[in-house]
Amino acid sequence: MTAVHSTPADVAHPAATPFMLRHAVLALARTEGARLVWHPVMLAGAALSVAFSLAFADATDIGGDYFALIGPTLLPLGLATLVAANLAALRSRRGGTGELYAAAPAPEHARTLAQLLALVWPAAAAVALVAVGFAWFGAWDGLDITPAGRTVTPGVEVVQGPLAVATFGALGVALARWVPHPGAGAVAAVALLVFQMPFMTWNLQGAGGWLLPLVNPHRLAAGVDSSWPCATGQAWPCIFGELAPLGWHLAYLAALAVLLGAAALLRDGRRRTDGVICTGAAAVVLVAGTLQMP
Amino acid sequence: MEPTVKLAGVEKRYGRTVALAGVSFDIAPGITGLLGPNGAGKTTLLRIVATVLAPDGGRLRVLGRDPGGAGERLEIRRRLGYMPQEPGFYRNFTAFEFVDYVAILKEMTDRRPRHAEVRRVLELVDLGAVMQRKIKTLSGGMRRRVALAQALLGEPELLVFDEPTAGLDPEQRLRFRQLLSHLAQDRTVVLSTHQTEDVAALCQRVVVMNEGTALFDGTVRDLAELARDKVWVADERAAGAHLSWRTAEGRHRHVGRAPAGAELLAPTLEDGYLMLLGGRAREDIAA
Repeated sequence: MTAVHSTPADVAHPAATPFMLRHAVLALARTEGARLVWHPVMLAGAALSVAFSLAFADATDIGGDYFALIGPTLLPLGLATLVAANLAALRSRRGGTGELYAAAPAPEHARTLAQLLALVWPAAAAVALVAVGFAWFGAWDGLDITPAGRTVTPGVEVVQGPLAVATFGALGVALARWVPHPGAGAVAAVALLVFQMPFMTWNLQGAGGWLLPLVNPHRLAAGVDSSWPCATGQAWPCIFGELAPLGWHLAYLAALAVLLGAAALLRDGRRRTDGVICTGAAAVVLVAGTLQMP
Repeated sequence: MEPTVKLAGVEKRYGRTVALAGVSFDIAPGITGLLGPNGAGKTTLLRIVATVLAPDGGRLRVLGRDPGGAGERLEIRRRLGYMPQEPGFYRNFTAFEFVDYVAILKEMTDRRPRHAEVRRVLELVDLGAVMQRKIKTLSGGMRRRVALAQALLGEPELLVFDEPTAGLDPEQRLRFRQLLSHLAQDRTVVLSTHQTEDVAALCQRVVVMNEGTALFDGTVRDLAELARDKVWVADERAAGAHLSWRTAEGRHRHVGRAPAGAELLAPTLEDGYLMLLGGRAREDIAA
């Protein structure tokens, strides 16, 4: 406490404008996002996802390249995002900074919003992994995914992985707001792992699996006619086209992410906009969640 | 000229406990110190001034605005620096990262000038050399200075400090006084403390609180004057004194009703505080 004559950086605090809070949220989201993607849990999750993709890529007899690109191998990254986002959203509670922040212009609502927007970073990481996967598997010109040599180009379903990562993250933030316990995120991650794995593997079918973030359309084709090749052990022809597409599931997933985010924001104080978004997202979740089921 | 903070009959309750029972006084530019025993309501009052708590009753104006309205409260917060008694930290952040985070919450969004401001306030509190160290590796006094630094971000017009010198070593306390006296030249500082020496050295005004009310509002000299003719030294302990202790010279210093012919001493602020609060202050000081 010596340099008492230092000059303040005047430009650091410009005159108040209506956009200042919005800019603060974006700046905070950048900071939170950068911290999120470099979190050790996230790095471990990303490494595991890469390892899973490589492991499945070798399983050419089960179309592992397609399996990797449509998202299931991003499960470790998604669960890591859930845990890391949950820890980040609980940071203020752990650190006991509530009173300090309560006197700042940006309210808790802004911090929650920034933590939700920060999920763009892990989602972008997931997009990058999918893009690398495209190059690695040579998927731009289609995937040779069947023993008989069938070639299919992955379509809109490749969005599922990054979207699921963001949804997992939104769940982490919502949990932090509604169940502010340090172990809640980890428990949710384990529970999701337990439910996700059977539905993503090749041997369990069930319409309920469509309610989970990551689905394998091949496995979840409940109600498939027993004469179909996939039901008689010839899996490959029924993976694409013939079975339920992922379109409704992607709508369900996006709405679920928005619903979880709005629920997190509602905890910071009831606002009409958050309530409307929450209700709208819940309606889409309900409709798309029903329609996605075969 | 309107005072920076104007309190009129401000009340606050926590359940059945009355924390503030109609506090009224003004806070003008310069340094105002709040003194009082534990539980007197100082922290509650500072939280209300810092817009962290809403009062249950009475009228309050801060920086010419009513913190009851969301828009005006936001304007107050944009001009306020607050250091709570227990600020809390992100232990895995560096000092720089933490203050930078608070700077964003204070709507300093342009990265380059914000970083310059963060460096400036950290250097102001003598943490320039350790700003890249994680907070969990800093000493208690250093963390206190990190909390102080964040309050100084953006040159706020009103600074509210709750026990700012707790945990600082004597040298840092003196440096803090130097910094604060400089800052108070053109703004309002209100602080609560148990360190009567800090109040005596720094504050133009002192408010003594007890049981949720303001018992005294005046200058440091006025407070000390309350003990005029009530402080004396003697070779033996006097039974009627509020408080007495043996000095380094081996004599007994007393505060209370001085006997006739006693060897009177010039009272200090602490003596006045003792006389004002009586037994409660004795317990406080003994604690």
